[in-house]
Amino acid sequence: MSASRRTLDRLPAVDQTLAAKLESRGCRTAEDALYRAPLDVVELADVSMHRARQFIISVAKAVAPTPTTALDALRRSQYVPLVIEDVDKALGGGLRVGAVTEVVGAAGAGKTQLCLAACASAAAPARVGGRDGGVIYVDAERKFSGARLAEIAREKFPGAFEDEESVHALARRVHVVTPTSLTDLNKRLDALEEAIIDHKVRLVIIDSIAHLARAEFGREKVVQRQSALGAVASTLKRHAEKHALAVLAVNQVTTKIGTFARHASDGGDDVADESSGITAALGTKWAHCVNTRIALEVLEDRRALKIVKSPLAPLTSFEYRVDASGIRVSGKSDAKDVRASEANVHSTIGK
Amino acid sequence: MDHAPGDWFQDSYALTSLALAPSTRSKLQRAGVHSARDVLRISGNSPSTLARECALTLDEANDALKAARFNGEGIALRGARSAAELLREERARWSVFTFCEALDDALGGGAASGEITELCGCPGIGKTQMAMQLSVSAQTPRAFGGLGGEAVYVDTEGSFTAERAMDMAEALAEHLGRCAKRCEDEDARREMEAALETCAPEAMLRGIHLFRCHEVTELLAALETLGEFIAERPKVRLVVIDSVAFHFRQDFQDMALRTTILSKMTNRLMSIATTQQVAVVTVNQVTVKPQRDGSARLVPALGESYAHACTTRVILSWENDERVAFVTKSPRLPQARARYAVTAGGIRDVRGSKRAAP
Repeated sequence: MSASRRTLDRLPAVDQTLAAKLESRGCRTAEDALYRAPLDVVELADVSMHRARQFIISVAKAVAPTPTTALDALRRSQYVPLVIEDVDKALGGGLRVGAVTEVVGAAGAGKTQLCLAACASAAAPARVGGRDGGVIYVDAERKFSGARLAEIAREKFPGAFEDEESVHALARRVHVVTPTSLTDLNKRLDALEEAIIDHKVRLVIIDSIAHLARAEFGREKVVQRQSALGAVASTLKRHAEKHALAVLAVNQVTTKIGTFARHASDGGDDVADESSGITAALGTKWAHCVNTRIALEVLEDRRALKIVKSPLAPLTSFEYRVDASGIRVSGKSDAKDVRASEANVHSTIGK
Repeated sequence: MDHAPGDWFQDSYALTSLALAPSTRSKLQRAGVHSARDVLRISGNSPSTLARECALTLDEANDALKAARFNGEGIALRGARSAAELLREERARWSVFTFCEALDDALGGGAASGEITELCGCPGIGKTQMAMQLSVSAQTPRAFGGLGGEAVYVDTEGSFTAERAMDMAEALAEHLGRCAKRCEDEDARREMEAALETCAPEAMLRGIHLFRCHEVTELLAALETLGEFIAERPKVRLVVIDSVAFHFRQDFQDMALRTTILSKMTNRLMSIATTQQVAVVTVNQVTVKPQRDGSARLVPALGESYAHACTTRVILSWENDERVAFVTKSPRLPQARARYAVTAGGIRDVRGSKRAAP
C-alpha cells in the first residue's frame, strides 16, 4: 500500500495514545499527519509542542523510504536488451530496468517493430540470451501481430525458435491487453502487481500512450490529460522499481501549430528553431517523466534512430532499415545532425 | 524583566497566540493569565511557581514558560553557544563545485552551503547530470581542496543512474590521480596520494545516500527525517532533491493545499540548509505558459510564489546547439551566463570557451 494511505495506528513506534486522539479528530493517515504543521497537531490533540514534533518525526520515520547508497543501486541495475547490438551498447545494455524508455516517431517509422523486438528479447529463454520473463503488452492501437513477433524472434535468436512448440512457449508469455482509455489503463496499472508476480513480468510495453491520451482527452481537456499522464508515469515507475521490470512507452509525433518555444530567460526576441514542423506529442510534462527517449525519424531517403534523452548515453544517431528482424541498424550518422534534431524535440512544444 | 533586544513586543502577545496545548491554556486562563507577560511575571523564571499559581503540572508549566518566551532559552543559558556551533562557524562557508569552471565562477564557487540552489530546464538539458556531478564532486578529498564529504540524493523521478554516477566517479578519480602526479610540492603530493586511496570510485558511490520517494507523503517524510540522518552522518555536505516538481505537478487537485505543502517543504529545506550547514540543490521542471500574443514560453514550474523559495536559481537551456546556464536569481551574485557541456566524464567546460561577459 502506498505510504500516504497507511493509517497511524498501523505505523511502528508511533505514540499510540496521541494517534488515537488524532484519529478521533479526523486525522487518520500518515498523509494527514504529515500535511499538518506541528501547531495543528497541538490544537487537535491537546498536547505540548514538543510532543507534537516528536510525534510527526516518528510518523515520518515510519513512512520515509529507507536510504540505499549509489553503490547498491549500481549492483542492482539490469537491462532488457533490444538485441540491436549498437543501440544496446549505446544505452548501456538496452532498456533499463526500473525506468521508463520512450520511443517516438511518425506513423510507419517502426515503433511497433522495436516494441516487438523488445518483447521477444524479454520473453525468450535465458539459454539463448533472453530475459526469461513475462511481458505485458498494452496494445491500444490493436497493431500487435503474433506472426510478426514469431518472425522477429526467429531472426533475433537464430536456431532457438525453429519448432512450433518453442514459438508457442514464447507467445504464451506475452499478455496482450487492449484498454480503451487512459482511465481504463490507469485502473489496470494500479492492479498490475498481482499479474507481475503471477507471470514473472520483466517488461511492460504501452503502444501507444499518445493514442490513449488523445482518444480520451480532446484539446480542451489538456489539464486533465496531463494529470492522468502523470499518474500513469508515476504508477509505471513504482512497479518498475519494485519488481525490477523495464517499461517501454510508444509516443506519436504531432505537428506544431505556430507555437514557438522561448525560454524565460532568453529575453523576448529569439525564437526556437522552427525549421522542422514535427515534434513529440504529449508536451513537456510527459517528456519530463520519461528517463530515456529514442526517436525514429524518417527522412526522404533514409531513416535515423536517435537517442535524444538518456541519463547514460551521449546523443547518438544510427541509420536503420526495417527488415525481417525488425529494426536493423546499418551505421552511425554524424553528430551534428543529432544535435539539431535534439534541440527540436526538446525546445519545441507539441500542441 | 530581562530580555534580548528586539522581542520586547512579544510580551504583549495574548495567551491565545502562544503555541500552547488547549488544556494548559484554559488552566492559565482560569488562573487569570492573559498574555505572555503575565506568564513571565507570575513565574519569575521558576516553572514550579507557575505550576503552583495556576494549578498546572510541572511539565505543563515548563512548556508554558517556554512558549511565553517563544522557545527562547531561560536566563541561565541565554546567549550561550555550544562548542559544536562555534566549530561549525569556524569552518565557515564553502561550495560544492560543478566541475565546469565557467559555471562555478558564475555561481561564486558552486552550490553554496546554507543556501538552496535551484536548477531548472527542459527535459534532457542535463539537470540530473548536473545534480549527479555535484553529488560526486562533493566527495573530492580535502587534500585536493575539495570537501571530502558525502551526499544525500532524494530521487522522486527515478532518474538517478548509478552507472552514470560511476562514470563520473571514475573520471574524477582519474583526474585527481593526474593532479597528484603533477604536484610539485613533495608533502602535498604525499598527502594527495594517501587521499587517493580513500576515494576509489566505489567508495564515492558508497558516499551517495539515495532516498527514492514515490509520492509527496514519502518526500515530506524523508525531508522530516533528514535532519536526524545528517546529524548521524556529519560528513554529508550536499542534499539534492531531484525533482521537487514531479509529485507536486500531479498529486494535487487542490491548488491551495499544494501551495501550503510546498511552502512547508521549502521551510524544511531551508532549515536543513541553515541548521546543518549543507548545500541544498533542488531540481525543477519547466512548464508551458501561454503568452498574450498567442505564443508560449517555457517557464520554471510550480508557480510564482514558489520562485521565492530558492536562494539562487539557475536556468539551463539550449542556445545554438550549446548548453547554457543562466544565473537568474541570487542575493549575492550578478546575473550571469555560462556555457557548459555534458561529457562522458560528467559536467565540464565547453572546450576552448572563454568566460562570457556577464
